Amino acid sequence: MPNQLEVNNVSVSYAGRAVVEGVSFALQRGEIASLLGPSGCGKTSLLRAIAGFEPVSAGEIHLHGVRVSQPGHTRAPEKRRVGMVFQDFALYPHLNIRDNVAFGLRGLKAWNRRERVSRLLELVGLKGYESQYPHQLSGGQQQRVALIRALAPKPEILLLDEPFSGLDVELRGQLAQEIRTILKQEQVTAILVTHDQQEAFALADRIGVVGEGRLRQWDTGYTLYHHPRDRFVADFIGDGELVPGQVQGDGWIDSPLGRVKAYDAVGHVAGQPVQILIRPDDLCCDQHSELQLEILERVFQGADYLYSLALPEGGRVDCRVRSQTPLEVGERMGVRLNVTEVVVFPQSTDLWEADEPARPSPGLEAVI
Amino acid sequence: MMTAARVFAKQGLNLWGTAAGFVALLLGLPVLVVAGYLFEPSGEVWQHLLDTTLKDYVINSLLLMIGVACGVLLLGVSTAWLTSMCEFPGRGVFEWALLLPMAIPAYIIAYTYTGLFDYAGPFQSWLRELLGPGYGDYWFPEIRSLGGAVLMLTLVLYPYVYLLARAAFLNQSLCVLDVSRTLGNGAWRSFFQVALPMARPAIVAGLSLALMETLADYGTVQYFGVSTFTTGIFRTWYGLDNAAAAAQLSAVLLLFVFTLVVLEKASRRQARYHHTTQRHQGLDRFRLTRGQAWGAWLFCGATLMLGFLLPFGQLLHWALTTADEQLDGRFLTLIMNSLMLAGSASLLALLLALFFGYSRRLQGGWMVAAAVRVASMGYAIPGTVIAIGVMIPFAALDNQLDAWMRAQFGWSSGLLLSGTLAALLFAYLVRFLAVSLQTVEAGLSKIRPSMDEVARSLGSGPREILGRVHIPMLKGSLLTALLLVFVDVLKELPATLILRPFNFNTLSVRAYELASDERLADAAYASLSIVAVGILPVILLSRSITRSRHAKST
Repeated sequence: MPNQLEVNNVSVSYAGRAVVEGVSFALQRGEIASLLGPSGCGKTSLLRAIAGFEPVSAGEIHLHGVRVSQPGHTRAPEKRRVGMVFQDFALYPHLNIRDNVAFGLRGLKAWNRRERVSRLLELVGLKGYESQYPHQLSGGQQQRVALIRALAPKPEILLLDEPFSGLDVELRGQLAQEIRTILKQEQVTAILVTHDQQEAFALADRIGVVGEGRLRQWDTGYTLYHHPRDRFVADFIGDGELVPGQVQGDGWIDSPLGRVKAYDAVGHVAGQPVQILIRPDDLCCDQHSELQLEILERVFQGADYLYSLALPEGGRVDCRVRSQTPLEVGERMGVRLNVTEVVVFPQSTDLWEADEPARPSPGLEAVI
Repeated sequence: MMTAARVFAKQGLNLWGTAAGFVALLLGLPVLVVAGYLFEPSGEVWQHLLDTTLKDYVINSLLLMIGVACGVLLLGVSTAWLTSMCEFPGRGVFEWALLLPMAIPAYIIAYTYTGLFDYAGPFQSWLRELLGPGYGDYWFPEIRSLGGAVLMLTLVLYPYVYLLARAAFLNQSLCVLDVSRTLGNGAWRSFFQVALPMARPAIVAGLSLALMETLADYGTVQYFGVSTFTTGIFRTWYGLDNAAAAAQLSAVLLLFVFTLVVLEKASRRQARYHHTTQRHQGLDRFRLTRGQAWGAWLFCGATLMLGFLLPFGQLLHWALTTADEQLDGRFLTLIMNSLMLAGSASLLALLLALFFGYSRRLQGGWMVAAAVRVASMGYAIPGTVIAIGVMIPFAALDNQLDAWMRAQFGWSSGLLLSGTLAALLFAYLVRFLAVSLQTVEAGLSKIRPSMDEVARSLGSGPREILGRVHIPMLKGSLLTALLLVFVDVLKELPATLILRPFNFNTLSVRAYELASDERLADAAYASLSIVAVGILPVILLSRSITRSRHAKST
């Protein structure tokens, strides 16, 4: 059985400039994937290439074993059987909910069509809204209508382009869960494009991190967080700081925070300077520890305090601590590493420049 | 529509852009022809004009503009403030009824007021009966004067300022006025210190539209015997029979118009940045005291009375008294002529607007954008100027063709373009395409590109998208575009006067002719028909006002 979707070495260019370069991945039937990346990284162009709205400048796209895109040939979107949900939902204001959902249903008897529409409306809890018009619905309801309109003709693949960005923050997580349940129930193959990792984690089986037009890593959310393959992924997924270290024998690293085991020591020779990724939850507070670091900033985050600590030889590291007895800025805090293995990057890498200006501390972002 | 644009680009053929550019150039021709005369060496007649009447034209036009500017600002801004920010009985009715004067062309209100307030009119007769003096025993302001023209134009043009100022007040209301009130400013201070300065760009935009209409007016000033540019152009064209001098006068008038266009564009751009909030919660209007409420009611009521009810009532009265002699076959011909002209002009304008709208949507690019700008230039240009700009090249073309036909075949082709409806329709298109285009583009912008793409992903091809998405969604805008141009053509006087084929009459021309013969009452049917149709777009406008009000209150 062929893969439901195969993207082979695909590039997309505008006016000779490649915005997507050499991307490959495959999806099994019923699998849900997410393309995750900062805005302008090319993830939407990739999605539009899969939908058939953009031609590819290199590579091939196969849908259900059929080649639909190659340079010089793009099968029209209307002939691909892809469902698409847009950021603005794009519901038709002149059609009521029933007719919106039934828009793509063709070749069905009127009765069957009604049947399918009302089953879908029931699926998303919108029974009774058939004769309402889109503007009478709330954002979340419009989103659900857009979803079942795309699902109605039973597409080969469902493409969701930032479908939650127009909604309230509280609504997003809940809807993402709901949509995942529906997609799994209907065994739909789907791709979600988003810049929000929480959405990607909540919805997708597999996540592709896209940066500067390239697919950086294609993995589960867990692996992306714990074993990022390059600095870009490490930086984009979760919080954390890169701390200098030096390779010892046997896959151990010496760092200002102490000696720690490397997750993947292959290719590192003893004595080589490296950088290790320390997430805020990799450090824990231990006032008896020998390692006492000065507190630079403190941000209250509800359950936790996020402390930003100064390293003795310059640089900083974050530490998340249950919010009980807070320490003040300027005081010293005893910390110890609480992680079995850390991810190691060479001192400088061609994938992500080491001298990239430091992001503002994530705690600060939350406050602002 | 990046996709379609790229597909076309790939074919290496900027089809839409080239076609749009060509049509736009054609439509821009009259203005270019007239503007060209700015650089023409001036002839004897021009020198004569310069020595004698040009000064009058300039002074009178300026005085007219200043007077109308003061008038429309006073009426427009105050009524807009009262109906949008204050609460008093009848406010809801005034909100839309204050637009009604827009339905009356200035020349028609001028005829009506002359009939009403002339020496022989009902008002002065009543005065004499009341007071008993004879002719010359009392002073009464002369309605047929520069001041009268200012009053007439003010009464029908203030809605431009009213509309834009009102929208500006409503948009700014919540955020800034409340802040001003929390800072301890009362209603008056808030108005002068916050609301008025913030609404200024919108008010200036409305003012420049009203002044463009003032410059374009021919019927009123001609009837009142005020020498302005438009009457001067007519006199030079017909009386002195000098096309070049008329064109040169038109070119000078164009300079005035151009100043206004720049003013309007600049203030509209500013107005866009002045919106500080998108939230319009039910606003808390100032509650007026009993006395203030009466004052507000009287002020709005008087404006409405003078601008619409009085002239409309007089027209009705005349129409009823002249029904027997006026309602005959000739009147039916007039109606048919006008309907035919206005109908075909609005349909052509709609087709062109769709063409430009879709060019922009499918192709984009600077070429189409420039073409659209050139094509919609005409909205600011007085009908007189456009007529001259159409006449000169068309007549030249006709003469060339005629000479060639005679030389080749010994047969005269006559006036193929300049003496026929083709010239008139073309002039209407030049003048009113912008109206149609604006409406169509507003409609098209509601069909977001994602709506096309959803339809495609659901299996619809281009033709199906047109039928199931575009046409149903555009229907309202297309009808509005048709209606707006229809009414504008119906009202248009000077271009119709100059360009109509021999013995071809329309409602506006007939009203003008009868009024010029001092047969004001007989002109009532033609005038009333124009006003009646003119009310339709006003109803549309007021409906959109009430609809937005309901949308806000829910």
